[in-house]
Amino acid sequence: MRKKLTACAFALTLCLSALIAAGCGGDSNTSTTGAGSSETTAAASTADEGFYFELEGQKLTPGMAQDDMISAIGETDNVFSAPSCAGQGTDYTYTYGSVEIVTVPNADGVNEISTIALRDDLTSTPEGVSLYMTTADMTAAYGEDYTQSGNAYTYVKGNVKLSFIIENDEITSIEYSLATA
Amino acid sequence: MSITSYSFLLFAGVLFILYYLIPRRFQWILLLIASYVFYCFSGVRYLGYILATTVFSYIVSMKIWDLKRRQDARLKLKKDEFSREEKKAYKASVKKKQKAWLVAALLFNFGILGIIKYGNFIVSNVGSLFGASGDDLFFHLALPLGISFYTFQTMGYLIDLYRGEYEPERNFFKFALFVSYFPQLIQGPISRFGSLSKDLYTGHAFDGRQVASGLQRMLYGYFKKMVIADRIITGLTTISGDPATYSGTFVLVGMIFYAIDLYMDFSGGIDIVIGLSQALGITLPENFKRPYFSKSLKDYWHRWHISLCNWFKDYLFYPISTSPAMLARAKKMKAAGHEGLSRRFTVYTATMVVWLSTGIWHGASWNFVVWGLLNGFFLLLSQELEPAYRRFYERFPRLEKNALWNAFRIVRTFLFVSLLCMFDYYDSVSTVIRSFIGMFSSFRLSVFWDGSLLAIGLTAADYWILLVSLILVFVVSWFQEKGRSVRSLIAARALPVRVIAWYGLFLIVILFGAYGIGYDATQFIYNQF
Amino acid sequence: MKAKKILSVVVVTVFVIGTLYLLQRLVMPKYMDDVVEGNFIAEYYNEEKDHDVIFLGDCEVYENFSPLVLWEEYGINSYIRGSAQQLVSQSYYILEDTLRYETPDVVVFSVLAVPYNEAPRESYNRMTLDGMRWSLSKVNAIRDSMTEEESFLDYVFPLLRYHSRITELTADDFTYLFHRDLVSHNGYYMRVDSLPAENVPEGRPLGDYTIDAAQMEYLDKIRTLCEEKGIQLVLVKAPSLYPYWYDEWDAQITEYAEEHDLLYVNLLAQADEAGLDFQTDTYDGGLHLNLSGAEKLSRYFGAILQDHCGLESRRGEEALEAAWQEKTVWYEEDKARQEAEIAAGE
Repeated sequence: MRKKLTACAFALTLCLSALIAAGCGGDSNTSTTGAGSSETTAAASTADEGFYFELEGQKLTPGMAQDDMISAIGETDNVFSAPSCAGQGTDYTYTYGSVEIVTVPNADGVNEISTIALRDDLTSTPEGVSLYMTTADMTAAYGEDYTQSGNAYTYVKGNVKLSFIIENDEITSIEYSLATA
Repeated sequence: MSITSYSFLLFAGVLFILYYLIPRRFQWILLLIASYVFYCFSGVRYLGYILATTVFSYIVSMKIWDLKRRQDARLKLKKDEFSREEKKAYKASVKKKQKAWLVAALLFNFGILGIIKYGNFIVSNVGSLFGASGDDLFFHLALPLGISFYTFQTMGYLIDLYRGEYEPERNFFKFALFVSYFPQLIQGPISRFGSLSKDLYTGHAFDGRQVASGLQRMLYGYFKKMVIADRIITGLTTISGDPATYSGTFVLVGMIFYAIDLYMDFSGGIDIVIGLSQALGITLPENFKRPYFSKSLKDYWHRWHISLCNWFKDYLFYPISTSPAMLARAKKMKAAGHEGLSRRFTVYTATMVVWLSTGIWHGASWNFVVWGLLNGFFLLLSQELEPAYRRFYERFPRLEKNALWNAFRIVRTFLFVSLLCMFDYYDSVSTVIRSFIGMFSSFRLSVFWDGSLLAIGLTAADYWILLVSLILVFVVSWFQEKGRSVRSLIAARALPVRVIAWYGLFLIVILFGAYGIGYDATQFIYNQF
Repeated sequence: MKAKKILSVVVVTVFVIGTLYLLQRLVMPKYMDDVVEGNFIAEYYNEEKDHDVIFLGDCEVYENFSPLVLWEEYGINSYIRGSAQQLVSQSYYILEDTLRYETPDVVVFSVLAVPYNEAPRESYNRMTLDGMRWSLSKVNAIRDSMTEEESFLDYVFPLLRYHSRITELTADDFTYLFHRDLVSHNGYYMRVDSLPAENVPEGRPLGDYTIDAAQMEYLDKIRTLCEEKGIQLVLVKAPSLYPYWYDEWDAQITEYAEEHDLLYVNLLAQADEAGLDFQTDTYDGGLHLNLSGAEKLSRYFGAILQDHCGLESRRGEEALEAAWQEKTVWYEEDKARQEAEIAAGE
């Protein structure tokens, strides 16, 4: 009898310690597990923090699936489809008023937004910059942390690249694209 | 350099040819060079770690040996002068010095391992206790190749040396080869110096049979790894990556997939490593003995990752359970009338320490800690239930030999082990518990025929390939379990049969292996352990 | 005894190599049912190699020029060595490869790929490179355009690349185990359907219009090679509305052509003169011409070739006439078949 009691007590203690360990781990785990998972969580969280464009109150970002985009902002009549040579998928250019959105097939053959471009000054970025504004307007909204190549000024946030082209101190192009591309 | 890459095959091929072309006395030097070249492929910046372990461990091994040598000389010299007590005291003082060196080496090497492998885990957990966010405290150190394997192997060597089990290797470069022998760096096994050193340092003449047998074993390893493990992992990652969608029956499917994947990947890799070594005339210890034929958890741990389990048994379990402090405490308990407790105290403590360490060895996360503790707990529990089992078998004596009953025990153990393994592939302990509950609460048998299984990244053809391959592995394992070697059985047949068997397996790997563009080349699960 | 051993080694070796070869042929894509573009590069080797003009480039050459029209109207014997998304470097190596067999009078190179500089894609690489016969040119072409995921060994033993197709084999894989049907018309990809160009997007401004130096270097290598062999090099921009052709790019190509005294024809700018109507002459909304468009363009461009390069008509050469007679039959058959398909679809 006594033996059994001892065994039970021991078993219970072990169970409890395991559960306590489990309880401790449960909450903190997602942020603290080793190298393996930290990379993925980092990628996922930065995707949320990257630049985005707003159309009809919906957030659009490069990398978003074309289907998700259409269900968010609806269809448009102005679509241009460019089938790649030899049946390797089709690029689409959707024009919604002042905004041009290009989708291209990803590695799995699913179309995703590759670029969002502003075509005129009837619309602006969520930070309030539109075409034909000046360099000062751009830096006032996005700061000085850009890289310059030719006339292009590029800001990167998360996995999204926001590029302005400035000619004669006038913004002539605003484009969102994937930073990895 | 992944073991399934073209570059590895090229590397191994060139080494193999050179190995048998050069004079035999230089073979070990070639192996040393090859091992370091191999290590450099994983990143030259990691070279410092293995060199530090090699140099420091070498110094300590020499110190321990030197102390012993001087002790022996002095004892011989003062044979007549020393009284028995003096002799004992002197020996104890030398042992103390040796121990100091050993402890220094253990601290140094396990320190490196600890900082690199567990620094993140410790710092972020301690940090979160004080309310700091994990991200601020993160410091990223990539794991050098095989650090756990070579650290454990080298520390085992030093402990054996301290125990006086053998003389140390005095040639630094030969010692360096023992630490770095490249096939083991990939994923073990963890060898003992006594058995490995002879094979490593002596020359080997080309032996056609040995070479053929080694290559055949490699091929079988590639088959297990590339055709089965690398295929099934697609389905597994779909399930484990999205536990919210893949709940209920999928949890069971994922559990079985993981068990298959882990065994095929790990034991397949070991087959490649052992086979390659065999082709070079070097015998490595076996690491698996058909673990999924185990009839109990205890049995399983005698058949799975054997070299690691032995390491923990020899260098952790016994030292703890037989340490004077533990024995003294147990004695005290006995004196106080707690006989049962006293009997269990040492074994239980040692077991739990071993399993906590085994858990941590597998990875720096709470998942593995819980996994290790659960294993220890259930092993002890079954030990406690031993008398009950005995009575049960006394009552039903024929059951023990009953095939059906034993099949039930095998399936039960397999499912149980697979269940514990859920901690390996779900991202947190809470997910495991949620998924485990969901497996029963929302079990749908229809998953097996409504096409859901074709939506997790595996096609009908994949399932057929898996099924046939698993049957093949099962048959081979069955033969091995009966003590027969399939390789010898085939070798005894006529040439056409041999050609068809091995070339057939080769074609299966080439055609049905999940490699190349279109398949994500997955790393060995045990690579960075 | 020894003879028996040698014999068994030989038998086993032959068996192993033979089965591997067969399996490799079996799993390699046949590109017969769809994506016939994958066969273009290889088809060239079955040709009688005595061409006056070789076209080099991507879809902007193989979908826009009809060698039959050039033959019928101008007596020019031409062949198009182009494949889907053929990179500039690949065009260079394919030119090298072509010169192993013949030296044409004129090479026409389509320049879109020079500034466009698309990242190599494995599927296109395979279509272009698998079709090439083994030579140093092929080796260099592979090494220059392989993506990071690809490996050279996969080109040497395509079985290693295509092995997973073993579970997806179709009847075509057995039918075309040892041969292919002809799919192109001297490298021209015929399409008779039509889709008017609508909503073609304007080019978006670029931060930098400078053409990549490495790309220009390959263009220069093509020019040098032509010069060495005494071949006239003609640069063309095909009249495709998309991808967008920037004036800034055009200026750089024009400058390069002037600098090296080359003829550069921007057929996009001359689309009206060529009589092209993007409501009827394209099959995919302005990206590529259909048969009607390609024939119009070939008539227009043939005249330029004849005038500028001094090509004499070879009509009347017996062997050539006979060969083209045969090609005309297949051309008309293909056209009729496609028209019938369209009619059936409607």
